[in-house]
Amino acid sequence: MIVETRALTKRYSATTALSNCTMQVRRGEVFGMLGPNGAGKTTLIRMLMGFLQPTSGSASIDGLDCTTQSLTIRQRVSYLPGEAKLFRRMRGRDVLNFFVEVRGDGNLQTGLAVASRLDLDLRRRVASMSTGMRQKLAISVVFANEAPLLILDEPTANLDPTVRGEVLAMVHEAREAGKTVILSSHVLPEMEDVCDRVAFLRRGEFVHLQEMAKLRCVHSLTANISGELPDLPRALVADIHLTRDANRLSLRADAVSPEFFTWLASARLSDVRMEPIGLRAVYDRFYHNAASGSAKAAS
Amino acid sequence: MNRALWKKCIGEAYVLVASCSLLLFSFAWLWVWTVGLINNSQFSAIIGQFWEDFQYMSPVSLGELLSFPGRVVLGYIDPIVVFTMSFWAIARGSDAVAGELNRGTLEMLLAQPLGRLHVLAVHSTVTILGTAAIATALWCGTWAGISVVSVEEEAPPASWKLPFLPLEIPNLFGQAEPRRVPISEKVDAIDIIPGAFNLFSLGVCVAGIATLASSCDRYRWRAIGVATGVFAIQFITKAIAVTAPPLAWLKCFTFFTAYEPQVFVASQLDSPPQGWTWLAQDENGLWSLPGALSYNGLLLGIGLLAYLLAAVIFVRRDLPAPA
Repeated sequence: MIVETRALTKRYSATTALSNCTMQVRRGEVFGMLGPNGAGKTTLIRMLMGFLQPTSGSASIDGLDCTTQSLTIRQRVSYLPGEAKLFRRMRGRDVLNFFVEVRGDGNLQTGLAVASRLDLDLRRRVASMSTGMRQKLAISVVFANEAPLLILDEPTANLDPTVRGEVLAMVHEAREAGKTVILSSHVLPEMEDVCDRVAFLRRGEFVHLQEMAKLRCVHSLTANISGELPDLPRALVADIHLTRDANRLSLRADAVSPEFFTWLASARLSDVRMEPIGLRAVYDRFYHNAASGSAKAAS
Repeated sequence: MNRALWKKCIGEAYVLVASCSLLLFSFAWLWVWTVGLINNSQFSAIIGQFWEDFQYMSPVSLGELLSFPGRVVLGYIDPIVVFTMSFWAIARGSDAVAGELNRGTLEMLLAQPLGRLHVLAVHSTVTILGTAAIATALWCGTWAGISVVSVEEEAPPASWKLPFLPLEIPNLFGQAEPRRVPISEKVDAIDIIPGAFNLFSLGVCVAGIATLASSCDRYRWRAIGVATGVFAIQFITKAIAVTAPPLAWLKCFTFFTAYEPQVFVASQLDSPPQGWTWLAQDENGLWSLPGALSYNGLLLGIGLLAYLLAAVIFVRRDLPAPA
């Protein structure tokens, strides 16, 4: 494990920003963090970076304590804040150069290549850059060094779809290169695309950990059915969850195998619609229900 | 120490330090020039009119005030000098933590392998070096003025020299001849250095207090407000203590008590010179009074203590996310 938190808690007088968060991030994976605003994602990341002191519990990166050994940790971490603000009077290239020099392990050529890939004009002063351009510059800074752990807090915010794709490709490449990436985002398709595991946070609590490989196998199917539905083979009983309402069939398949398709073909189905279940369904399970629960309580 | 961080800090400071230095250099030069415009008898006449009523407000004697070094160093207590130095110190000090937090740049900076103490130390060192540069510029302006300005004085009428005898008879009936002599014959710029050093100490003190305010806050405007408030209260306290003798005890509660460039320059001209001593002689010749270095030490001590507290607070505090 490269990152571990144990009952990590952060309280601000009456508010609990993070409560008893225990989780592990494996070396070499892309680990996503999902949750609505105020769920505690940024608080968790900022505690890992040593910007915030935990009220209780502990966190470590590479076996180093995030509170007492923050300086050594930051040599091994490249961090993109949610709101990356850079020195306004500097030009883009000067900013890149500054961070490469400050880190010591940075590579200006890599940073320049990333900036070029993101179609960023480095001759402009930061003050005259748009929000998206500043985000691109911050991403170039983060990818310009060889830190084994990347922590990216909403890296694709303010970016156009083309550049978003490039950034996600860079995350893929970082994983291919053996780096670990912790990614926080609100964009579910992006998380589905790049993450190996996704943690769900709600009101400061860690509520669920989703293995994406398993989720990618889960499909939902809806169809019209005429006649009787053939019995499910015993091998599929555990993975298939069926609901039938008159002539309408709905099912969720936790695993899809040749036996499943054989069984499906034996049924007289029409108007079949099958799709991966996706993170949306998991997200709704934790947040939609919570939101409607809150609304009911309020009413 | 990180070269890139030094370059960044110097880059942020140089315009302000250059402007303040140029202002005080020019001011000091002009001040010496105005000293040269008014001859001593005119100045004595002006001061003499008010001396009886206001002598209790002067930290030096009439003789010291009327001397050329006394008149030159009078410029060092001018509001332009005090406020320019304080403006620099508060602007820089307030920027140390709250400034970077306010701009949101501290997050990216501290995401790099840089200790908080390191970041604060580089910023503070640049501020203190800038303070030294501004005080030096003030002294250089004084030196430049002293080097080129001349002053009018009245030369006694030529005496009669008796032939073959080593005797001169003063001409008691002749009229004094006005002549211009270089002011450098009247005042040595070296003797003014204690005044410039005192200004440097004041700058460090104010910068330290501003840095302390900055280390506790996330908004720069609020840090500036706190530091300016402390400065104003201290300034007013000194003004009340000086102008109202029954309230002279208030001097114990303001750091401006230790800002006395006139006294330290006058001490430098004493015999023995006391511009750089920890103790000064009292009326009986005993070394029992605090000397110029004690006063400067007090200012520097307050400043360095404030820097130390700022470092402790900054290292331990939670850093808020950029707004």
